Amino acid sequence: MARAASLRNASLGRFWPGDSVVHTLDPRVKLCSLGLWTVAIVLASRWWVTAALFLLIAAAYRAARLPRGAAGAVLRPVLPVLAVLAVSQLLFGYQDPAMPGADIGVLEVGAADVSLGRVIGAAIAIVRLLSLVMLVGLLTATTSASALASGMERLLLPLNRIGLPGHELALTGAIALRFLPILGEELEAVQRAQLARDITGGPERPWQLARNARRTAALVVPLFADALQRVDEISTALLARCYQGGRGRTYMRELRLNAKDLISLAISVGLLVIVVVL
Amino acid sequence: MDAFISVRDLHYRYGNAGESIEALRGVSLNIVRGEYLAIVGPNGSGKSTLAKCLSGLLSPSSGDVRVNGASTRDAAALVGIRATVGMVLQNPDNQFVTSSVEDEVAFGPENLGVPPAEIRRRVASAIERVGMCGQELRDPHLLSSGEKARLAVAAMLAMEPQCLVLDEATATLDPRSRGSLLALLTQLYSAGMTIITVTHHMTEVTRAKRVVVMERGQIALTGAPAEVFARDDALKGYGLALPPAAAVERGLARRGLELGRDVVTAEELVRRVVALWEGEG
Amino acid sequence: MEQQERSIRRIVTAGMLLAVTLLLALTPVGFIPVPTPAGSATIAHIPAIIGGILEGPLVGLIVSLGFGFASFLSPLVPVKDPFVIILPRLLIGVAAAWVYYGLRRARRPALTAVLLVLAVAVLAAAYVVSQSVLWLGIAIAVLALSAAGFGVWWLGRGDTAAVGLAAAAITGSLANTVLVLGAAVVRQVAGITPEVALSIGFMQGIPEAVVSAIIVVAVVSAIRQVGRNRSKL
Repeated sequence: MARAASLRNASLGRFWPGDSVVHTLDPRVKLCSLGLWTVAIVLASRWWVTAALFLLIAAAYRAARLPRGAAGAVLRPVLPVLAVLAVSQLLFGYQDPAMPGADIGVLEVGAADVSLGRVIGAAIAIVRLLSLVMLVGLLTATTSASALASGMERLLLPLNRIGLPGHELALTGAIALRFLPILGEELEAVQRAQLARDITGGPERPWQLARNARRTAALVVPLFADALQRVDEISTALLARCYQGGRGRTYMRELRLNAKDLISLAISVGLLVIVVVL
Repeated sequence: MDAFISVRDLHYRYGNAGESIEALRGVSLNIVRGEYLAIVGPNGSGKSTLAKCLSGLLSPSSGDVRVNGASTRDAAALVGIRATVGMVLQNPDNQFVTSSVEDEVAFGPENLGVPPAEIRRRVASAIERVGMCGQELRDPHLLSSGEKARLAVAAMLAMEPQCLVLDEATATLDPRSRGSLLALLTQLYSAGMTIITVTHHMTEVTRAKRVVVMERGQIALTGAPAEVFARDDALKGYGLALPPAAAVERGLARRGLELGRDVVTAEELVRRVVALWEGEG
Repeated sequence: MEQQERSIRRIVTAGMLLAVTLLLALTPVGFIPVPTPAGSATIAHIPAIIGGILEGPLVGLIVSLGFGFASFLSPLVPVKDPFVIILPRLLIGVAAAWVYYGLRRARRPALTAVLLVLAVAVLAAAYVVSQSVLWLGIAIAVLALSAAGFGVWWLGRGDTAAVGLAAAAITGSLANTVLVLGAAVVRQVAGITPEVALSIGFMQGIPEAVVSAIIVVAVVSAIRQVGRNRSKL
């Protein structure tokens, strides 16, 4: 069962070790850049800005020198969603009246007439979705979970100075990252056991609401129970490791920003400024 | 020699006033530095609770646990006690909180505020002592169960404890991984570390220098393995088995061949049989 | 020291629920097939509700935030507007926590009163809806009356803990449906007109609320049961 097998290594995305510029950037810079680029993609209102951002992300993929298939693995899960997005955009999408040729009719489907403007609008929506998914994929492909966790912690730490639980949030995130694959495995085991007892098997019949709900509950309740039953032991383990909150904590890895990191950060900030000004 | 860990009339109650279970009912025990102690007993006898009290993870309902003279009731001393008496729990999966071997080993010293350079030294040395060099960047989730158990020990060693408490750490291991973990414990013991192990495996108990048998929240028997295992009837009452070598000796004794009731290890059994053989031949 | 242990428990609970929400939001497991244009109802918001119930509004907020980010970054969700996908979802766990802790302090007469007020409010809404779409208004009225009848029967059995859990779950789930769809209408997401939002709300929101209530009651009661038989930490 392909669906069950994919859960075994559940994580935010696969990490491909390497030594490219993108791999060796400071994780804090990568996380900040992810935020800045995401805002830029969401704010970009003109079609050519969206296209330019997409090309920049594609260039970053080249710079990361990822193996063949890495980009494909990132994009594969998006494909079914793209169809839904394309149809809804073509039929109901917003049209930019300023766009040249916006009122040129392309085809008529029932009451909705699809103009060139809507076709371009759909293309922009698709490129925007692809850009975001590829951006997240690039981060997880070039950053190990432990680098991600330490970057996250170091970024959130200053929050403690203004009385917010920054360190606690970072530990929460680290625990989530660490237990994601373990719970994925657990879910897969439950799924298999129920497949054997024929609870979750059979074709999908969307109209049988009660059956679908029961199937999902039978799958998810054991998952929750497993996750929450671990809480006691993990808490004890944290005490045993002398965890005492963020106060007085030191770090094995001393993250230092070098020229490369600063330049990348400057590029990301500059990009956002340009997009906002445009 | 003064006591390293001293336990005085320890009581521990789980739950609140309404419905509570008294897991420990008046335990007193002295543990000296450099000892190898095994705690055994049937399920629910309080051995795990005792282990958690020794390492300062539970504070006594009444009575006192002192480590190097500091009480586990003293909140200010608690972090120091937990670092001194390191606790390895049964399920390694639930005691790792990071996503790489070296981060996991560094987590304890980081919590203690050890300077970065010193953390790196300790991490390298702890990973080397448990024989996991070259695996620093692996995800703990992808390790074998034996490697997970050794990583759990390394994570404690990096806090430079004087004592390790293992709560059924070998229970889920295959024979080979158990063997390598026990060899590691013996090696640490010879280097001066105090070892306290809670276990169901009687062969493991024979490696200890002293055994404490728990029964219904109290210490029922204590002594060297040979002394404790010589009391078959009492052990049977507590639902505990004999180690295989001692069981063989009892079988032979029933057929008239007395080798001595203090035989607990296979090596000793072989030595006596050979001595008898050569004595006759 | 007690303080420290409470804080550690909160962090660990939030971390585990965050992992569950990521798992549900990023894989097909978190979606139940239903006959609507979107094709599936989500259950990925349930960890946020459970977080709010077990450890209070702050943990509820953190897990909700995780759910919002996961949906925003998920390749399975086509809409990429943070004002629709992230912001409204922050209230899921918080709303569930407020309802749960509010009801827990209340006694049975108060619970019955709350139930009746809610039923009257929904009936009024049904009347308003029936002015424009008659069948929808009647359907809402029937649903509201049967839900209220069920609630009164349940209260009569004396199982008020489960009523509190179910109410919190339904509130959290409806907060998700109503706020996300409302934001989608306000932000003019392609294809989401007020009429479409209303029909998705009913076709998807009600099954989601019912499934959430069932799962939350099952999970939290089971965890509480285990907790009672074991240590506090």
